[in-house]
Amino acid sequence: MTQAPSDKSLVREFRRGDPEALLAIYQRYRDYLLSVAMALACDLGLAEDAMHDVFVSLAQNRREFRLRRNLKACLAVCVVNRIRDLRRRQQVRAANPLDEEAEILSASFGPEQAAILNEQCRRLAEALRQIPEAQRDVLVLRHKCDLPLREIAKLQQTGISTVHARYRYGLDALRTLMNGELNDEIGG
Amino acid sequence: MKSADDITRAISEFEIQGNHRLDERVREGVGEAFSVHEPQARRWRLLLTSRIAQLAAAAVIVLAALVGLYAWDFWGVRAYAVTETIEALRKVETSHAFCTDWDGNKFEMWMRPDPVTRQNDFICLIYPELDCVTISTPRVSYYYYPGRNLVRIVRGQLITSSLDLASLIESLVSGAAKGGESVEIRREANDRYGDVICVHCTGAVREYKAWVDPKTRLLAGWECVRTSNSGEFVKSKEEIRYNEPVPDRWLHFQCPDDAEIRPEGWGPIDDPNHGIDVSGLSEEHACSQILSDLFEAVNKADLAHIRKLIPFAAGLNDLALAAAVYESLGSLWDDPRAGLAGYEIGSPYWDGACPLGVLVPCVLTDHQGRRFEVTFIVRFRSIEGRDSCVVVFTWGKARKIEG
Repeated sequence: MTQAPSDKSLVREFRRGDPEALLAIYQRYRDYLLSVAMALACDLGLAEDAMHDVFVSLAQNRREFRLRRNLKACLAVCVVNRIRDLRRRQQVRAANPLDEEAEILSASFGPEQAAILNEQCRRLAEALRQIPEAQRDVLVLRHKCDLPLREIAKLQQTGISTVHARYRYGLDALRTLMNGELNDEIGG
Repeated sequence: MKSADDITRAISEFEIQGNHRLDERVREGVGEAFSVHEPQARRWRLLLTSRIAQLAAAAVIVLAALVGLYAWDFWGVRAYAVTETIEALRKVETSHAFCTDWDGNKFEMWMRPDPVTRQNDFICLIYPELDCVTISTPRVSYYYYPGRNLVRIVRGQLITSSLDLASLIESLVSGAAKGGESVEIRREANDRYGDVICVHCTGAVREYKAWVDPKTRLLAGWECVRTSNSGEFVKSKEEIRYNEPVPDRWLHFQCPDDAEIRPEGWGPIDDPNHGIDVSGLSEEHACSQILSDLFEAVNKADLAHIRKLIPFAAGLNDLALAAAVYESLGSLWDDPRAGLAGYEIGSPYWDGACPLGVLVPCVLTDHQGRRFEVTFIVRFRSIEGRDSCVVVFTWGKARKIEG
């Protein structure tokens, strides 16, 4: 049985000019990175744009690419930064992005699995979309990317106490939103 | 009601899958980027001894193109090869460097290599901030603390300083090439050194830059950046001077008459009571033997045997030793008492950045099936006619193997 190449060897190969090595990295972390991007952007189009841009940028700057931490965390930070750039440049599409997401999910999965995932994603994405970006970023970076708050503070170029506050307010807001939705369903 | 835990769990489990459309987009974008961006146009290939002849013609063409483009001929009339620096360094009698250590401490270093063995037969490290001067020869080393008027005397040479600059560069570059790391040679207009040749080796967790004087081919400066989970660490030789006479007070060091003298026997790493006998064993076999012993001792929690194999551990109490060993063997170990489910010991290799000994990559598996890559340093000694080896410790941090 052939062992899958390690991240390190794939990075080495792609830096040497092998596009297939970079595409193998993409395939390995695609779902995780897309989930991070989607949780941050709450917009599938924007999330996909970020994914595309990150990998194209890696290909363009392969010689300069330095792996400073494990590859998964490194790519997640690239995606996070790209999302922030894209958000600055364009308005998040207001017109029902979650409908588009549902379509994509339905197309990718069997009907039963799509229904479960769609529901879970939809609830959380909807709630995440309603809280301030800075709070959302902290929650996603902490729980989806497993970054310590101190590192998040560095990424957001702010103090650790601000990050703590964003985390606390964000979590409270999400709880309120998701419990409110639950109450509506029960009551309604 | 959803609790905070429910919410955080929902975020961590938030998962969507990519789709064919995204795959195609990325594949197309990456393909284009690889075909359009070819950033090697101005880069130099590494020329090592064995390839000089076959690459010389190509190098001359590239050189001519560069000179034509920039009308800048500080390179001289021929391509540069790392071997030229190695050869030039082999001819120096002494080197005097001003350096920064991993922890940011500044120090000054004098080195005088033996012309035959190329090992330093004299080395002096002066740490003003630490109030410490270390003088080391193959037979004896002194730790002199001028402020405390104290001299500690240790038998044997300082392990970290036995390698001369030529051997350091040679092993660094050839090691990088063998390890598949990127090695580039380029010209650079450097703020500190002016117009220099920069030899740049890049690996996943480390990066070296050696700046070479284009006229003398000697090292002008050197820097190593090592990245670990704890951050980025830099060690550098900012300025290197050659063939200066070593100050007599260091070259022929005499303990001050009124100083407190503390003879300390063997330095821990060269203490013959540590390690295992390796007479008649190949280097690979010896490494395999001592590391198997270590892993078995770890599994039996036999701290006395671990101390015998790792001299540095001898000074640690049980708690500190257990913490240090289990942390190093896989920093994510949940239950150290569970020990190792398996281990694979790789072939030893030499890395110029680690003059402590050979490096031996190992893959350790825990009882949950998780695998970690840990590199150990094994040092071979010949003390009083007996060949032996010890485990110095790990080189870098344990790395979890994904997948």
